[in-house]
Amino acid sequence: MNGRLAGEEARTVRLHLAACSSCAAALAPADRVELLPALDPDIEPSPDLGARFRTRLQEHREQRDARRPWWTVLAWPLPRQLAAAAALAAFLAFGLYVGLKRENTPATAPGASEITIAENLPLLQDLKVIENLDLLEDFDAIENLSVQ
Amino acid sequence: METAAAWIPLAMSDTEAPAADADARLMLEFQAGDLVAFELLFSRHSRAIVNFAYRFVRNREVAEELAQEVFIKVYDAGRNYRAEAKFTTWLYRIATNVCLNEIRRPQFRAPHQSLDTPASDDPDDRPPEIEDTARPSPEKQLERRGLRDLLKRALDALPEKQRVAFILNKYQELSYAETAEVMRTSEKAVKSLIHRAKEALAERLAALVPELGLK
Repeated sequence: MNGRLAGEEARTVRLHLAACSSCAAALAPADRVELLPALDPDIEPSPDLGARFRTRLQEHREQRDARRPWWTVLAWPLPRQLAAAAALAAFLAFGLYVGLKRENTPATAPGASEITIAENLPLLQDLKVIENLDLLEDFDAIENLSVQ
Repeated sequence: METAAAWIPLAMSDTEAPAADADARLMLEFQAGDLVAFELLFSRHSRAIVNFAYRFVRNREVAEELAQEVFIKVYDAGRNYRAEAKFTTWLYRIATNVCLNEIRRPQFRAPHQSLDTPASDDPDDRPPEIEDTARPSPEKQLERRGLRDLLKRALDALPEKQRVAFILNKYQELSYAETAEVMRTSEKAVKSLIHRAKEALAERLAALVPELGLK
């Protein structure tokens, strides 16, 4: 008491004095104030405090990360910096590999459809005639049909 | 809530070097990215911090909000943490700043009561049923008179520094040296603050609860 005891020892003595009138009566009047904390017991936190805190912490982290400038990565702990650097290096290496592979692949031969189009180019230029030809060829039949 | 705290800086002192502080070790593990270490610190200390805040605001809900705010600050300060002071000293310094900022706010969230207002309706504040005895203990004297609430309000009426020193030393059971470390003052100053707090409390309560024999 009076600063000579701390922690569990002080708590034990206070609790005893608060409950024992004989011992409390032996205290000097001014020292009886020491009993007051024992008369004002602790509260129990809500059972869901831990869960609520985890949710709040998650929200806080998201908000903090959203407004954090890119250079704050320099303040990350070393293991985290190394992990981020390794991930970035792996990504770049993969990109480089894909790029090089594409560059070394021989130009592919023109596909069959491209050849066909090229061969029929003059024909395609006369496409209108071809289209109309079909129409003209059937014209008489259509005309006859309408007559019937 | 983000206003700068007044008289207790957050920086740690180098007067203590508790290499064996298990909490400090957990904090260093958290600093290295171990979130489980942080959760362990929360589960170890959240009850004490809720109760510490409760002594200031006298409202469980607000006290739990403040305790969460304290641990958010611990989380944010994690990367700058250096194990130069005992972890609890550092934690209580943050908690003290958070609580003082809260009670200094003009729109202080917990209802303020004077010594003249009726006792609280909060079931936590109601004295339990007690048996009558010929020679009641101090605890029973207070309960019988329904004056536990008065004790709380007498504490609330103390000047800020006296209140912090009294709560840290008498409720949270920190030693004078630890209290001085949290408040960044000398042990002598802490002794003086607590002495004056005790006098003020005795003065206020003596007239209201003469059975306690405080005078």
